[in-house]
Amino acid sequence: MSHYCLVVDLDRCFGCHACEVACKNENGIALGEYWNRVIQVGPHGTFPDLEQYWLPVQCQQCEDAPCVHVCPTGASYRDADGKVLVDKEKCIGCKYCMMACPYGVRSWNAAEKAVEKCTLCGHLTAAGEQPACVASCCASARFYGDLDDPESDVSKAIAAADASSVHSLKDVGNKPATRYILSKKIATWHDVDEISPASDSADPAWFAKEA
Amino acid sequence: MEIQWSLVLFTALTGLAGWLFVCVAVDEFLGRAKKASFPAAVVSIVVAIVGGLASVTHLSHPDRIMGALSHPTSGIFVEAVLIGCLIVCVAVYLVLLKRGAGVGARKAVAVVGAVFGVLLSFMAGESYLMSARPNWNTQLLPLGYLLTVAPAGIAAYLTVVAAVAGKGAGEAAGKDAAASLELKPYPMALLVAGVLSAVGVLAYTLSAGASDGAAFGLLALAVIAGGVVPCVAGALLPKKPESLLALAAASCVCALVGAIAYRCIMWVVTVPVADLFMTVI
Amino acid sequence: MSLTMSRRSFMKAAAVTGAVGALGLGSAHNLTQSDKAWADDDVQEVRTSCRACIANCGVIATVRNGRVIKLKGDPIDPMSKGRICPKGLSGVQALYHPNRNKYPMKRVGEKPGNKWERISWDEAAKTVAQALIDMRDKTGKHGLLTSTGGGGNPQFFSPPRFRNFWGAGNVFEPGCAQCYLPRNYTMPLVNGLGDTSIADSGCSELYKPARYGGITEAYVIWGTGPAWHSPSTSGRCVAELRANGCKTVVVDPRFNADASKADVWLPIKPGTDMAMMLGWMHYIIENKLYEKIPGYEDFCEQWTNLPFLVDPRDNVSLPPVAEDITKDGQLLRASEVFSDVTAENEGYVYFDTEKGEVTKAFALGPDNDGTYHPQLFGTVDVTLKDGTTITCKTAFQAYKDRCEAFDLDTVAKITGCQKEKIIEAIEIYCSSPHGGISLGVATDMYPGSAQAAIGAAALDCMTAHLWHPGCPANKTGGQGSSGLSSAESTIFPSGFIGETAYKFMDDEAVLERLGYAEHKGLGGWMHSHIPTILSAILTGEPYQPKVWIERSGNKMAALGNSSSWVDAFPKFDLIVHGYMYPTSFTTEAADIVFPVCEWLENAFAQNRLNVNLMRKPVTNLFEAADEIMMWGKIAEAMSDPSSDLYDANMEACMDSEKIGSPMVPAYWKTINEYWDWVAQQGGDPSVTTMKQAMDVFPEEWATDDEYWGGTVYDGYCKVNAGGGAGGKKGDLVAAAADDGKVTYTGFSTCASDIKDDPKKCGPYADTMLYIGRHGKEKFEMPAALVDYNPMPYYFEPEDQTDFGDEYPLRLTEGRIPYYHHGTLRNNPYLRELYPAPELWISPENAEKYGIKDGDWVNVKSPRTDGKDVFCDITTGVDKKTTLAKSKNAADGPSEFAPGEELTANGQSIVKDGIYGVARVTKGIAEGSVYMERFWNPEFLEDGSDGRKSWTTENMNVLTKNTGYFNPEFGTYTLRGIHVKIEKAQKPEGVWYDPTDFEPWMPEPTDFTGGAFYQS
Repeated sequence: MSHYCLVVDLDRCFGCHACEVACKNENGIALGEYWNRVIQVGPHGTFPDLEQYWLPVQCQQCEDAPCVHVCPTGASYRDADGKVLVDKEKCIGCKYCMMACPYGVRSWNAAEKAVEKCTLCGHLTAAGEQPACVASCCASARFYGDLDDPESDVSKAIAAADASSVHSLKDVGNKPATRYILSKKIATWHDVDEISPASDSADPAWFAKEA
Repeated sequence: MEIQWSLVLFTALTGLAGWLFVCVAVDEFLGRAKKASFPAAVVSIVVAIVGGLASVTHLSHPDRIMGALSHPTSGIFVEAVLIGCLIVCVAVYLVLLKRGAGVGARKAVAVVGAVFGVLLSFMAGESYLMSARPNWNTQLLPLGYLLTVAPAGIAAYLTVVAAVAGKGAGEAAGKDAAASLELKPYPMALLVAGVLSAVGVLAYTLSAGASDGAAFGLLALAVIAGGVVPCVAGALLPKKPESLLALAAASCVCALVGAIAYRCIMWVVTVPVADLFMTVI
Repeated sequence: MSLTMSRRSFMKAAAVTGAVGALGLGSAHNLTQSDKAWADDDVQEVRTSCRACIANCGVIATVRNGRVIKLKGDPIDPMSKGRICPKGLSGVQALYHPNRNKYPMKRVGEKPGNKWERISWDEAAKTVAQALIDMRDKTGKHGLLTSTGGGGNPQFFSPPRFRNFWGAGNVFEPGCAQCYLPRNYTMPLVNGLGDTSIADSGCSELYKPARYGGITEAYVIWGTGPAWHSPSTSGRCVAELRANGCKTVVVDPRFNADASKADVWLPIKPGTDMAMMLGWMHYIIENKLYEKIPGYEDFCEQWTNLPFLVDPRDNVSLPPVAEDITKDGQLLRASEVFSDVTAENEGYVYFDTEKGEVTKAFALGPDNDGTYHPQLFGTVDVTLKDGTTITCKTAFQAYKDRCEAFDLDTVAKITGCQKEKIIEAIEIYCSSPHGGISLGVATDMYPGSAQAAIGAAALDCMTAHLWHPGCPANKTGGQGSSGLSSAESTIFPSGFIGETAYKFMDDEAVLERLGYAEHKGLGGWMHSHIPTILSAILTGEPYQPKVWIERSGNKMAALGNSSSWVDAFPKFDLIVHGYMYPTSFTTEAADIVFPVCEWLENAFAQNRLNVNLMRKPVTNLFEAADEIMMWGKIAEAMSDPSSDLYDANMEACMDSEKIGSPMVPAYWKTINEYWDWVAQQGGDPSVTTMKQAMDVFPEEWATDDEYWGGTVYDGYCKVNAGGGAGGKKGDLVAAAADDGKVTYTGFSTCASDIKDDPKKCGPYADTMLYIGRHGKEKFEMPAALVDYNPMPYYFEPEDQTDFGDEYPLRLTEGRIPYYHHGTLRNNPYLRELYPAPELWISPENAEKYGIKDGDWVNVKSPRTDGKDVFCDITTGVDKKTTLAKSKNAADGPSEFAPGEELTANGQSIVKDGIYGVARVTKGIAEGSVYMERFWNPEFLEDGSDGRKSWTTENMNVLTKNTGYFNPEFGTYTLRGIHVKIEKAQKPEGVWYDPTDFEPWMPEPTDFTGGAFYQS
């Protein structure tokens, strides 16, 4: 089966947030709601020997997707291509999938009262275009494609990277597909359950900006 | 995470209903309070339905609930099936009781219903076991769900028993009735259930890691109201049979509060692997 | 009818006025009744060029049924390669912002205030014309003030163009001397190539695809943040370089994106860059790295002016802040030494070690290659032609002396950086000739602006980081490109300003530009000195500015010590503001508002390496118009000889024949004519109309192979490398000879009295010194009181010296990827991302002040506290030259001896200081904090106190327009000021939560043509 996902090269990503704005524009996402966010990890270390990277996060296209598993109505489903998607028409709003997502990267659409998330811009890829976040990515850090196809952008990006530089968000059995490339020369990879907002503020502007 | 009150009430009430019906089933065999069977079963089915409705308020599109039929592995589906089975069993039991049908059939239906009741109280918690939330992902959580509603169900049963007895023969008669009933197994059960509830609450909460004042407050409430109070009531009852109604009712309310507090702990302490959007669910 | 300029009032206004001004517009919010020229669901893609910042990335706009619905990057753009940043992506929300200025307006009611009445373009233009004519007749033409800057797709040249036509007056922008001009002006005079601002000039060479080889190997990113300046252009480019193995050094107080990827980060204390540069020079000289650059070991000797002898008799006038520096002045002129050298063949001299004698410097060529053996260091006794003997240092020796005290231990102490890190940085820099320093805006923003520009360019000269493959300082672009301007951000249309047959402005009008004679570098952009303008406004001396036409972003957010301007506004007869939205300046100052276009409505030609882009009018809304129409319509209102409002200059500037230069076209009467003219500037001679341009552009005028393959590197040691890659496409001009001598192209940096150009690059900035004494106009200007020192020098920031005890933290600023200058603070998606200014503070300082990450913080400076008030600096200056008579107070108030306080009242408005949100981070230089410019458009909504829009979160009320201005540009202090902070509460009324910005979500509107459109 094909396995479409995003791969992000964190050696390149410089935290400009273009992917985030492109995603909101493309998908008409309301203020305060997100399908894609960029998290700053760091700086860590001792001044002035600091490390920092940016972690863009969105649906990780898990192989064993807990959201699909817990969804009572099949609103969260895997399509013929293997992409994890949400059929908002079927969503009853129980939010179990949001609880079940290990990374909290599902989004509650307050207007439609339904759960939604990154669709890998299927409407664009179907027309031969790149997802909006990939197309806009100013650092050329984002790749989209089928992990099972060695000729895809994602496979090539992973193949080009040193194996020790390829990471995924902490796998708790869900097998996230998205890969992050981060080499030691830029920064040490931190598991996603180790990074937490430094700010006491619950405001999204401050989320996950670590001190 | 925000406390999901719909789900808290849903699991607490349906659990209470389930354990209340367990008592009804047990009494089919012990036969200590036959007059209470019908009203207790009625209370059970009413509470179960109210609890079920509470869960619906959690949904933003209950109109689409039939879609759940298409996906029989989800926790919601299992809960829906179990609550449906419980309600059916209780309803059949009531019908059998009303029609004076054979004891065997009644006992069988009561046992099956009781099993569904116990299962429901457990499975309502089992739904939250997910790898995304490490401190939910332990069998201690559903065990706590089961244990915290047991005293509430038993106390509810005793409340009905007391109410029915009092109603049937006046105040004095009530006392006598209570005394003569040899209710001993039920207060003992309440005592034991109280102890187990407190243990269950502590076991889960300690494993989950209560981190702040709110969680510790809820923990104290769950242990005292949900465990200590029923336990003490269970111990006092044999000595003060005249206070059956008061003690049972107080235990019931406290145990329910305790069960609710326990469920709240779960929401308060939950930490996902990561909450990268900082979404308030 | 009056209205305030916010969404709800506009809706009311629309309801009251019903439809239709003179141009057949529908009402503001219901323009859908226009006849559609498209079929339903007609979807088109228009390929245009962004102007959300100065980078001009290629963008494709999707237009459905006449409305722009989507923006994406255009892959044809060789600089952005189809990428697009948050600012660009926000173009749709900006275009359809509900608070757009939709019609010309005039103020009704109090100032400051936000009550306006809609008027016609005609009435608006006539109102301005009337004020200008009244002013001319009463107090003269020099009362005109025009300004720009602060972002918002301004036409860089429009304000000076109008002023130049008008014939007198002053121009400023808050940037200029504080942003880019110092580097743009100084660096080419030093390195003979151009400035190395990756943000402004583009540094084309850095964009060379790796397959052409010779890519940048060692890149020093100094006070600039390519990743966050233009993520899609400079950010993308530097990310690509890093991925290709380029080593980078980042010199920045902030651990910004590029620092986090760098091989070495030097967390420099703001304001100490010159010390760092002198330290690098010290190390380079001490370790002879100047002769160890692989492959270019003799560059310093052969191609710089460092061997030239310095005239010890020159008594240079030193800057008041650095009177203890070495006193080396101008280079010795050959005419002083040799009797056969006169003004006609003036030159420099050096000591030839082979010949053993002082020799006149000469340009190298094929015939004399190998005959030039200059002494680099030490002193030489020179016998002058009058027989006296003087002892001259070489220029390099002068440098050695200048940086003598700046050993790296001392520099580490001053800059807050570790010595080992500094050495590592220098070693990387000198490890390869394929690289160099990109100097950013940081150093422009304090009075060391010219010194840092000389320093960075001189370092590149000393270490041969010029004109090789991979050097930021370069002449890239194959034959046929315009060389330096091939990635230039602002210069268009070329020749928009230039010589005309009609004499619009006389020399006196040029000379009386405020502060120009003292700060002659301002002439580079034909601007004036902002503090001198402010003082003139407040005192009426040397003359009173009366009519102010301002076209751009929020001046209250962009001007240093901006509250000091409040007292200036009442001094004007009329203030005009042209912008897309109301800003704090509109409500504080404006009498007349012109609605100008968003970039999606504008036309502009933009070269991007081997591709010509064209910004096209994708749509046009309301009565908004390109700003050229604002200036043009004001001029046109004074062009009728039969009218009371007649002015001969204004008549002439409407008439191409009178102007007499095709390079300086007349103003246009319809926008269509202007668009056609723009289309003709696009670089394709076959295009004469915008209609054609819509189809033709973007256009690749050369292939990658032609462009990169045709680039001539190391052209200085080649014959006829020309002005970089100048000349026509594919046509390398045959070798031309001067006086029969064939010479190499070399560098052109010498002072204008040097006629026998030795064609060296000029790290010893003799040319700057010369300009300070003579100017660069067609007439001789009086010398500045303070000489333009030929070498960099360091001085401590004034706030440290004057107020360091009470205001212990040094403040810096710097780019964030969401906003450009003062723009887009009203953009919902961007404010969601960055709702309030961050104040970066180290964990140690945070603990000291009891501040936690995410806390609101109150920030104050000597300016908010009434301790550093803007003072009179003009009542003692000469009326004709605006020069101070001397540096002494006895000669009356001048910038050297400021008089009485002028703006205590205005500055008291901000006595409570400003607010930001603390971000506790290790990524900030010692003892420093960081904050970026901000303002709060939410306070311009109905029922709000508009003043709070610029007093609440605006760090530019902390900055300094007082004290010391550097000699060359009059740069004042925006960075390296000192502040004090304390924990605070969130200020009332600011929008912060994502949903707060809901009222600013776009309201799509149909094409109207805008003003002056003829269908």
